[in-house]
Formats: sequence, C-alpha cells, structure tokens
Amino acid sequence: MNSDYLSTQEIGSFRKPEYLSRKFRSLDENELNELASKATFETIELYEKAGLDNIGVGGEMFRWEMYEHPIRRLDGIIVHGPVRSFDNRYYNKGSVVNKLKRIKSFHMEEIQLLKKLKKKNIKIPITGPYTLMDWSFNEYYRDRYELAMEFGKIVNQEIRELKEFWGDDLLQIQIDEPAATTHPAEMTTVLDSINESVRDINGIEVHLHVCYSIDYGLLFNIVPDLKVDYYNLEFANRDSLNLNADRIGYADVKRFKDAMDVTSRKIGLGLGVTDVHIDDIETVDLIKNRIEYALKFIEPDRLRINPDCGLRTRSREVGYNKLKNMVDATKEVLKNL
Amino acid sequence: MITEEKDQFYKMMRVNKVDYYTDPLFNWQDIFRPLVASIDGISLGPLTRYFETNTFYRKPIVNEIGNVKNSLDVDGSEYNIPGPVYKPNEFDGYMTFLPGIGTFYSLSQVNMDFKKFQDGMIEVYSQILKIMGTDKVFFYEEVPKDAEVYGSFSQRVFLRIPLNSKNSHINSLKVYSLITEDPYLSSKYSNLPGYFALDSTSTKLENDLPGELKRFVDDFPELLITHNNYLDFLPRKIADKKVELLGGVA
Repeated sequence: MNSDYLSTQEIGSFRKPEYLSRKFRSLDENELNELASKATFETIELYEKAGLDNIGVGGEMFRWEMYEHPIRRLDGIIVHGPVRSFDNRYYNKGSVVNKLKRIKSFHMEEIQLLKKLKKKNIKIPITGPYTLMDWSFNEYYRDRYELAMEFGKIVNQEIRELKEFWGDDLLQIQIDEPAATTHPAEMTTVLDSINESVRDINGIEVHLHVCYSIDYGLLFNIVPDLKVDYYNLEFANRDSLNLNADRIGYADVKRFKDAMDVTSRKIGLGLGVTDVHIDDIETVDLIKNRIEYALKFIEPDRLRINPDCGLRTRSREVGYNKLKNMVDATKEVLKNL
Repeated sequence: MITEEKDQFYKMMRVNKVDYYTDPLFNWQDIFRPLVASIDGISLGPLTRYFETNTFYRKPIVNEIGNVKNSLDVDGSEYNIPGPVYKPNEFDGYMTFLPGIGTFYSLSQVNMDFKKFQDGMIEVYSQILKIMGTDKVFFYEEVPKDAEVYGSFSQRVFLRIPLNSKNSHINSLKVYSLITEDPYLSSKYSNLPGYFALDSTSTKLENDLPGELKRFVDDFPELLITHNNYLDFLPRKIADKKVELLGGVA
C-alpha cells in the first residue's frame, strides 16, 4: 500500500490552553513567545497521540485569530474595533486607509520553532489575499481587485521568506480562503490574487482551504487555472450524523472529481470529515463511511483526511476526540485498500 | 449584562433624538435564532454563510409552523439565546424587529410551499406582536417575495427593502414606512418615505450628512433617514458615531 494513501492532517487552529488564551492580549513579545511555544509543544503532543500524519503548526498558538494576526503586522490598515462573525463571536475588522506594507513576518516564529523541533510533517496556514481583502474595509485602493492583488503580493513575500528559511525540503503551505466563493462575480479576483500569492515560488506544495461555501461549483470552475495542489474543504457540517443516511453533505466530492479531471496536473482533495461547530464526536463508523463514499470518486493517493476547519471553537478534549476518531477511521479504511 | 447594555443603547437613542429604533439584538446570535427557538416545528440546521458576508447563521429547518411557545425567554444550550429575547419595551420609538418573511423563506430549508409558509409566519408574527404589545414593527427584508403582505398587519409597519432585490411584488404595497435607497420610490408606497443615508459597510463617516440631504428638503416634508444595513457590521465606536450623525441631522 502506498504511504501517501489517505494522509491525515489538521486544518489550522486548535483551542488554546487557558494559561495562554486568558493572557494572550496582555503578554509582551517574549512572554507570548514562551507561552505560545509551550502550548505548541502540548498541542503537537496531542496531535501525535491522536496519530495525525501532518501536525500543521501545532494549532496556531501564536495567533489570536486568522485575520487579526496578519493585519496587525501591516502598515496602512487600522483597527477600530470588533464586528460580529457568528453567534456571539467577534473579530477585529481593519480599515485599509493607506498603501499596505508588511512590517513584520506573519509566521516566522512558528516555522523557527518547528524547525528547531526537527518536525518535517508540517503545513503552514496563511490567510489568503482574497479573504484579507474581503474582511477589510477598503478605504484606500481603487477597487476590491486592486486591494486583493496588493494582499497577494504581501502573502507572496511572506511565503517566499518562510520557504527560504525552511530550506530545500518541500514545504506545505495552506492558503486559507473562507471568503473565496462569497461573491460569485469576483472569482477572477480570487483566482488572480491566489496565484499572485504563490507566483514564482518553488519547492512548496500549495493547499487551499475553503469552508462554508454557498457553492463550491464557483471554486471548481477555476480549479484548472489555480496554482493549487490540494483543496481542503468542509463537508461534514452539511452532512447527517446518521450513519445510514445518504451522504448528502458529500455530494460535491463528485463535482470536485469532475473539476479534477479537466486538468492534467495532479491535484487532490482534503476531505472534511468532522464538524468543528458541534460537540458531538462523530463515530469511527460514520467517518469511515464518509471516507469510503469519497473513495468512490477520488483515488486514495489524492485524498487526504481532515476536519472541516480549524478546531479552535471546540474544547481541547472534544478536539482531540474528534481527531482521534478521524485517524482511527482512516486506519480502518486503509486496512481494506 | 445584556439588559444593562440594552439600556445603554436605548439611552443613546434618546440622547441622540433618534425617533425610531429596534432592539439592538445583542443577544440574538443571528436574525432567525430566537424564532427557531420559540416556534414549534422549526429547528436549527447547519452553520451557513449569511449572504456575501463574513457572518454566519444557523439555517432554520422548517418542517411545520406551529405556535409560539408560551415563554419567549429562551435560554439554555450554546445554540440558544442568552437572556430575554422578546421583551416588551415602553419607549415610544420602539419597533419590534422581525426578519422579513421572504428572507426567512429564502435563507431556510423549508419543507412547504411559500404560500403556506407565509400564512404560517403571518400567524406567528401576529402572536409575537401581541406578546410584545408594540404598535410598531420593523421588517428586515433582504429577499422580498411578496412584500404586499406587510400591508395586512394592523401595527405601523416599517419595511426595509433593498432596491437591488427582486421587488416586483410591491405594486399595490402600502405600509407606514418603506425604507430603500430611493426615497422617491418609497414615497409611492408609504406615508413616511425612508432613505438609506448611512453606509453600514464602511468605517468612513458621512460628516456632511446634512449637506447631502438638502437635495431632498423641497420634495419631502418628512423623510426617515437611516443606515442601509445592520450596524453590527461595523465596529461599535464607528457605529455609535454614525448614530450621532443621525441625531445631528435631526
């Protein structure tokens, strides 16, 4: 059996331990580095105990959340305060009021730590240019396209620097674009800005994470032109928890296969098998059933297994149990391949 | 804490001389959640993106439309509403907030045709308005399907509709106030035309609002000016400044 079959991965964030989350915003740089490093070790231990093949960056312990982390490292954008995203959760939305300039690397401290720990099986999530644009107020650039392309250049600069530090080994980069399909008329902006982010950078495997899409078909239409190797998508949220139900949440797997067949490049799918917005722990049988459904359309060396999205909204215990069942289910499926 | 915050909000409305306002919905996770929690036959579905925004809601699954539960003070699980939801309010300018029926239908998984859904919602909305005891109701309609139905409510209806939606069903609409991007159109269908004067998707402040509104002075003896969407999409300090701008016009 090929060792690339059904590799398991996480998507990015994981709930921070309280010693970090409670103090996060009041820590100075050294204190944050120390506590975030400790939390990263502990999260990697959990991931390894669960049996994950790819440990990401150990749960994004250095980041408050995916939007604010990069924009706080930019000139030209100011934050007036939080706005609601869902339920009673809020994020600090920035206003772009001047030409953007990166003043500090977004993720260098994470990659330095992982290299020091001699971890090779990593994947670095980076918030994508389209989402950074869409989640900001644009009060400087001519239009949304121009702003997205500016963010694309900045993300390119970041990835390039991370890759240079990482060295010759292949580096997995995950561009997070939850906003990718929210404006159907702007798919050209999505395409161009993501491609700009990875333009002329060699030695990276590019993942794209999209979730809670109103229509994945919009994304699949641009797959042939996107410089992306893996598409890590959310499915479990739209599926039934009933083992015997039709796998209605996974109907788009077939559509992905059709999109995949249009291109001659080898691309693959990261299959979301566990819902990150509910505490119910999906059973091994249910996850196994979801993977087996996807295998009807996607070859096992092109299929990776992951949660729908980052697990930071769940407790660490629930997050661990979801990952453990995900890995156990994958092992069960592998036995029959 | 929610009650205190709401009291502060109502105070801000009065201080700024804002004539009409709804509950600020601080404790509503999304615009459907209290209804899902309080109407028999409707349950919570998957987390779903709210139009083209970075905001999400739990999609209502509507199998039937039963009665409004006796107690509207729903609390409990993480998916429910923390604190009172439909709380009667004694202020004159207070309007009960309800999502438009077309919007509710379009953003839900509904296992019945629109007519049956609409009839059911008119009934439960009437029950809620009776409990609230207010004489004014604000319908937030993003996807109008049959806007004329709002003329059937006995309360003073304030109806918010964006013109870029399909609103072909308004030919014989008559409500107290129709709020759109175009006050001339609003005046055809309502006593008090409403106008989106403030942009809730930009942190830029409309500092010359009085100047901008001068062009309407000769045409409208009365004009309701408001913002084009929830102020929830803006950071609070900017939203508060926009409320002050509204008051400044008055």
